[in-house]
Amino acid sequence: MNILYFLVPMALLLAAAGVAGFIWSVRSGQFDDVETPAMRVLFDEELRGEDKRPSSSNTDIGDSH
Amino acid sequence: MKDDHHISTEGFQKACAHCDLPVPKRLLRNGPSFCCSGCETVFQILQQSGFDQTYYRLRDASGKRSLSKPAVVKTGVGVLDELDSAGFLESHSTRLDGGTYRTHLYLDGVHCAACVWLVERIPEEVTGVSRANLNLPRARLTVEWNPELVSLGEIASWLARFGYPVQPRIDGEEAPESREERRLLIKMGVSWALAGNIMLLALALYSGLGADSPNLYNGARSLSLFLAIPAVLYGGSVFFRKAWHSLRLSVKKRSLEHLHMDTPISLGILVGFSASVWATISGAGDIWFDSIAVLIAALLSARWLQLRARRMAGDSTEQLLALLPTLARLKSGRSVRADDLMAGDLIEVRAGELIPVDGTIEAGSSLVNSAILTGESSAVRLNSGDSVNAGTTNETSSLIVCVEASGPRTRIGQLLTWVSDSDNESPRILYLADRIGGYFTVAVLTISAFTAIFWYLIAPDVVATRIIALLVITCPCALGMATPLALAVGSGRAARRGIFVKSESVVDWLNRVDTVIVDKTGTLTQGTMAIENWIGDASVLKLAASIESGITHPIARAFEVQFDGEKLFDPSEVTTHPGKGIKGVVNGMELAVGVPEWVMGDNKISESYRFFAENERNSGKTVVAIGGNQIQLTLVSLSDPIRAGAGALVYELTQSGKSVILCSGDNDFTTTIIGLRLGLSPGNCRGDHSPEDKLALMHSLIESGHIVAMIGDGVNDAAALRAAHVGIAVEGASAASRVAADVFVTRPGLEAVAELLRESRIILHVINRNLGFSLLYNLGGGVAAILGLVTPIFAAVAMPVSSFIVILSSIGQRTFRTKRQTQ
Repeated sequence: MNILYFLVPMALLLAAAGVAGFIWSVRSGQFDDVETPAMRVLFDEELRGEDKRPSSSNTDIGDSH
Repeated sequence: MKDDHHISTEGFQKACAHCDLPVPKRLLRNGPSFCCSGCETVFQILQQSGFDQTYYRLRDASGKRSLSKPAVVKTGVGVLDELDSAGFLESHSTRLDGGTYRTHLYLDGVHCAACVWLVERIPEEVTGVSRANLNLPRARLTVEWNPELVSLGEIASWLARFGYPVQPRIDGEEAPESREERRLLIKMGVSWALAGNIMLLALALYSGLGADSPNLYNGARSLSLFLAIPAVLYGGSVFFRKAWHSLRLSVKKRSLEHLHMDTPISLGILVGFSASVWATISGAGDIWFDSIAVLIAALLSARWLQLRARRMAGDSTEQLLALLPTLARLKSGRSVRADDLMAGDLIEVRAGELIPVDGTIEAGSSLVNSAILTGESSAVRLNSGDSVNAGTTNETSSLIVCVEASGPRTRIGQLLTWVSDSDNESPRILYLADRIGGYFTVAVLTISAFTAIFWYLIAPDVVATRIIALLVITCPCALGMATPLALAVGSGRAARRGIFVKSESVVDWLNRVDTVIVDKTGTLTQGTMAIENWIGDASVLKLAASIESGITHPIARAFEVQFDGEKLFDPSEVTTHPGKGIKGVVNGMELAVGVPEWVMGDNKISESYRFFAENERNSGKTVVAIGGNQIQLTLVSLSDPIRAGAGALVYELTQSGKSVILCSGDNDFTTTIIGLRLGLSPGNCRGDHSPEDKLALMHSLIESGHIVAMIGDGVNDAAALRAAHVGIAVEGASAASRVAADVFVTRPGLEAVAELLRESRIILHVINRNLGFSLLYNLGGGVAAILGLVTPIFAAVAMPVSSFIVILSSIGQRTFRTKRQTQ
C-alpha cells in the first residue's frame, strides 16, 4: 500500500490542474454566456474572417426547406 | 410557437415578412407584407446588403426566442456623439495591443441566431473592427475596434440600420454583477473539487483503509483535514458572513425573525469541522469532513443558480441606468456632471440628445420622445414653458432647459434610487425558508440540550459525540436549497416564456394576493386610440388625417395610424384650439376637426348623425366631427381597443376570489364602460385617478391588511407598482415601470399575466413540498442522532440523498410548460 503515498499526491495534483483550468475558463468569461455559442454552429456558410466574398451565395436557397 | 400570439391575430390574415407578427389589413399587399414601417425598412436593407437569405434561414432554423420586431427606440444622435467622445474611449473602454480598443454595448432588439449572425458580421463589413461578440441572453455586444480606422459611432450606425439601437454601458469593461457571479461559480467549482477528493479519501477510510497501518490511517485523515480547511474557510465563508450579519441584526432587534437560515447551517458546519479537526489531531474519534464539504458545495450550487436566475431579470434595470446621460451642457457651453446641477441652472440640450434633468423649457420648441417614461414611441411637440423629464429624448431642435431637479432627485432618478434601496434592504422581502430560520435554530439548540441531558444521565462519555452527530445531521442543507432551487428553476422557465421575475418574494406574495389593481390605458387597453366607426364621407377622413399629421394628440395618432404609409396632402394655416380641436386648410378646402359642438357651432345636425353620436358615446367611445364649408360633415368615433386576453384575465382573477379594481387616469365614465365590458362591477371602476391617487389607494388597501398586486404599464403607475406587494409591468410598458415592477412581461397580450398567477401557485406548491420533505428529513435525522444511530457514514449518505431529492423535486416541477395542455 506504500504506492498510495505517491499516487494520492499525484491524483491531487491532477485535480488541482483541473481546478486551475476551471478557474481560468470562468475568468475568461466562458461561462458568462452559454446560449449564444450554441447558435454559432448554425453559421456554416463561411468561415469568419477568412474571405470577404459577397454573402449572397445561392446554395442556401435549397437548404432552407 | 404560434400559440403565443394566436389571440392577437383576430382580424388579421398574413404574417409580417420580417417579424412574423400579424399584418394589419390596411397594410396588406401582394408579395411580402409588413406589420410596420420599421420591419419594412430592415427587410429592404437586409435585401440590399445581400444578407436576407442567410438571415431568414437562420431565423427559421433556430426557433425564435421571441418575436423579432425591430426595436422602436432609435439610436439617438446624442448616443453616437457620446460614443465618439474622447471621454468614452478613456473611461468605458480598454486599450488592447496594436491600437485597438474593447468595449461593451447594449444592443436592443436582438433575439435569435439570425441576429447573432448579422451582428457578428461587423468585422467583415466594417473595416477597423477586429472582433464582435454578441451575448444574446444579455443583449451585450463586445466589440474590438481601431479608433483610427473607424469610429464607434459608425459601428453603431451600421447596427442601427438593421434595427439594433445601441446603448453604451456605464460600467465599461467588467460588469460588477458578472464579477459576483464568476466569483461564486469559481467558489462552487473549487468546493466541488475539494468535496470530491475528500469523499474519495472518506470512501477509502470507510472501506477499511489503514485498519492495519496507523500511518496510512492518520495520513488519510490529515489529508482530509488539509483539503477541508479551504473547503470550509473559502467555500463556507458565504454562509458564515451571512449568519454573522443576521445574528447581529437579531440581537439588535431582539427578534428571532431576523435569524437567517445560514445560522443553523454555519453552526452545523463549524461544530462538525471543529470536532473533526480535534479528532484528526488527537487521532481518535469520528471525522465528518466529507459530509461538510459536500454540504457546502451543494449549497453553493443552489446559491449560484439563484443568482443566475435573478440576473436574467435584473439586467433590465442596469440597461435603464445605461440610458441616462451623465453629462450636461451649460448654456455657456461648458460640460458639467448632471448630478452637480442646481435648480435654476440653464442647460442646453441639442437635437438628438437625452435630456439629463427634470425642468421646464426656457426657450425653443422641439419634439420630445418620452418612451422611457410612458412606453409611447411617438414624440410630442413641447414649447417653452412645458416641463420635461430626465431620460426623455430631444429629437428635433435645440432646447434651453431651466433645471428643477437633477440626478437622484429627478423622477427617473427617484425611481432608480427606490429600486437600488430595496435591493439592499427590503422589509417587504421575506423568503419562505428564512422566516423559519430562527425557529429552526432554536429548535435544534433545544433538542441538543435535551440530548445532552439525556445522554449525560445514561452514558456521560458519549455526550459530545451525540451532540456533534445531531448538529451535523440536522444541518439544514436540503432546507436551505428548497426555496432557492424551486424559485430559480421556476423563474428560469418563466423567463423563457417572456415573464421576468425580479424579486423572489413574488411567488410568495402572489399566492396571498386578495386584491388586484389594474391600470386601464395601456394595460387592459392597447393605450392608443383607433378609429372604430364613422358616418359621412370617407374621403373626408383622409383630409382630416392630413391636417392632423404632425400633431401629437392621441386622436391625431389614430388618424395617422389609419393612413400609415399613404400619401397625404400638405396642410396649411393649421391652428390648434386646445380642448376643442384643430383648424386648417387642406387641398384648398377649409377644415375643422374636433369636438362636435365646436365644429358645428350653431348648425343643426340630422337625426341619423345625432343617433350615431349618442350611440357611440354611450359605449364609451370618443366622437370627433370633421366639418367645413366645402365638405360633407363627417362624424368619427374612436376608442382605445381592449387588449387580447383582458377579459379572460379579469374573469380568472374574479373566479379565484380576488377583487379586481380598475383604476385609471381617464374619466369615470369611460373607465366604468370598459370595466363593465370586462365584467367588473361599477363600484370597482375608479376613474380620474392621478398617479398620487393610485398610490394613495394602494397605501390605504395595504394598511387595511390587503395583499395587493398592481398591473400597470406607464410611469404613472410606477409609484403604485413599487408600493404594491407585487408589481407587474405588462408587455409594451415603459422602461421606468419595468424597473419599478417586480415582474415584467415581454409577451404580447395579457395571457402571460394570467399564466404567472396560475404557475406561481404551482411553484409555491413545489416549495412547500421541498420544505415539508426537508423538515421531515431533519426530524428523522435528529431522532436517529438522539438514539445514537448517526455515524459519519450515515451522514455521508443521508445528507446528499436528501439534497438530491430536493433538487429532483425542483427540476421536475411542472411549471411554465411551453406547450400548454389547456383548451
